Amino acid sequence: MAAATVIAAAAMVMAGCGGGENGGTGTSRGTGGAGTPGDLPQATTYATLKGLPLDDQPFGRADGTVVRPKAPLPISAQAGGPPLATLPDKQLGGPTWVPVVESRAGWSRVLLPSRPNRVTGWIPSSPDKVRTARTRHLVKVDVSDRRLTLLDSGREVGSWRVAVGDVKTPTPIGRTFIMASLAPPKATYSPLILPVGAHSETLDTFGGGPGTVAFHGWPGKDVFGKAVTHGCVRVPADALARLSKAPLGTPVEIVA
Amino acid sequence: MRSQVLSRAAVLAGAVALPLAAVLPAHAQPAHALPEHGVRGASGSAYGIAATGPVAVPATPSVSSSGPNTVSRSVAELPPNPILKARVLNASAGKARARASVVDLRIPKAHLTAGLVAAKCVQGKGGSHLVKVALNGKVIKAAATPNSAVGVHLDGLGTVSLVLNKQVRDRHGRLTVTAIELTLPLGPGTTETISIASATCGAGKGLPGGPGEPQTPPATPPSAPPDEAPAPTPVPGDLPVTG
Repeated sequence: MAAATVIAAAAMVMAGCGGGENGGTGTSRGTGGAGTPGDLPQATTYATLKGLPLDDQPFGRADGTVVRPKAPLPISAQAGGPPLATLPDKQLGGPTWVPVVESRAGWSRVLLPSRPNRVTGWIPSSPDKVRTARTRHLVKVDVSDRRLTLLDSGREVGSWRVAVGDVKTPTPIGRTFIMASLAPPKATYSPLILPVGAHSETLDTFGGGPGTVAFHGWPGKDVFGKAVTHGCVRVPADALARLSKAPLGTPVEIVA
Repeated sequence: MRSQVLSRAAVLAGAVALPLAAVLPAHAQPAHALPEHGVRGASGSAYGIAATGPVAVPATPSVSSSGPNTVSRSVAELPPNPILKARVLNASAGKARARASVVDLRIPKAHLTAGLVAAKCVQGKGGSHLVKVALNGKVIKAAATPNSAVGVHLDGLGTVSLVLNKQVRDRHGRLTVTAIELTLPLGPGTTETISIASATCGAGKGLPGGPGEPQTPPATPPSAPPDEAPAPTPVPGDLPVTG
C-alpha cells in the first residue's frame, strides 16, 4: 500500500496536477516508532499511517469543533504519547482543518485525512498550537438513497440526489470531513473539487491520485440518483455551490 | 478519615497497617480510561499508579478531597497484574494540595526500576521527585524539568518512552503533575500507558473556604466559545479523485 501511494504521488508530480503540496510523504511507519519530527510520516491524503487508533464511533456525531494547526504538530496514538506522525499545517495547498472527535485536557483527538479510513490521532490543543473554531455545518450522505443533505445548525439547507460509488468501487461509509477546496485549472468535469478525508476501499490509486473520495460536480444530470462512480459523490451544481461554503473540517457522515 | 498530612515514615507505617482490600479505591476508574482525577468540586486529588492498555490497573490508591481535611490512603501492594510491582503506594489530597508517591517500583518489561517516585501539587503549582530511577540501566536524574521526554529502544519490545514531571493544566486552571508517564508497546498497534505518582490541585485562593464546595479559580481566563470556522477559499489546483 505504501509503495502504491508513493508511486501515485510520483505520478501526480509528473502529471503536474498536484495540489501544490509534496505528496511523496506518505510512507508508513511501524508502531512504537519515536523518530524525530523530520522523519515522521505526514498525515496527508497521500499517506498511510500505522499505529494510530481508528475512529471507534464511525457513525457518531461530532460536535462541530474543528482545529487548525498553527505549525506542523506531532500526532500520537494517545494523549501525551510518543509522536507517530506529523499533521502538516497545509493540505493540498490550503489550510489544514480537522474535526475533533474527543478531548482531554490539553489534547484533541482528530480525524485525519490519511489511509486507513477512520484513522485518528491525538494532537496538542493549546491555543499556541492550534486555532479552534466551530462549524455549524454537517453533510450527510445516504449511499443507498443516493442522497446528500446539507445541514446548518441542525436545519436542512438542501437535499439533493447524487451519484455514488458503484458496487465494485463503493463510496466508503463512516464519518469523515471536508479536507480541501480545489479549483482545477482545467475544469473538465467540475469547477470545484472538495476532497474529503476518506479513500476508496477498493482502489489504492485512481487516475494517478491516492484514491481520495471527493464531492464534485458533473456535466450531465443523468448520473444523479445512480451508483456509477469510482467512490466519489457527484453532486448537482446547486449542491456544490452550497457545499463550497461549508468550512474545511466540516463533518461528513456517510451511511450505507 | 482522619485528617493528617503523612510524612514518608508515616506512610510506610500506614502501609503496613492497611490491608489491600480495605484501601482499594471505591471509585476506581473504568479500566479503559486513565483516571480523570481533578473532578470539579474536588480541591485536590491524587493516585499512586494507574495503567491503561492491554493490562488495566485502576488508580491505586486514589483519593480526592474538597474539604478542609487531608485524606490519605496507602497500600502495600498493587492489584494482581503481570507488569507492575510496587512495595508502598501513597496518595493524599486536601484543599488545594495533593501528593502521591510510589516506593520500590519495578516494571520488568520496560526495564524500569525506581526507589521512589513522587509528585506534589500545592495551590496550583507542583513538581516531581525521583530517587534511584533507572531505565534500561541508565539512571534518570532526580529533578526533571516539566514534561521532559526520555525514550529508549529495547530489543524485542520497541521504543519505551517516558514523560517526566508531566504537567497539564486543565481549562479550570487545575494542575495535574504526573511524576512519570510511561508508554510501552505491547504488540502491533497496542501500547500500554502507566502513570506513576499523580497529583492534581487548584490554586485555591480567594474562594469560599468552607467544606461545602470550594471552587478553585482558573489560572487562565475561561476560553471564549470558539469562533465560527471560515468558509474556505478554493485553492488553484487539482487532485485526481475517484470521480
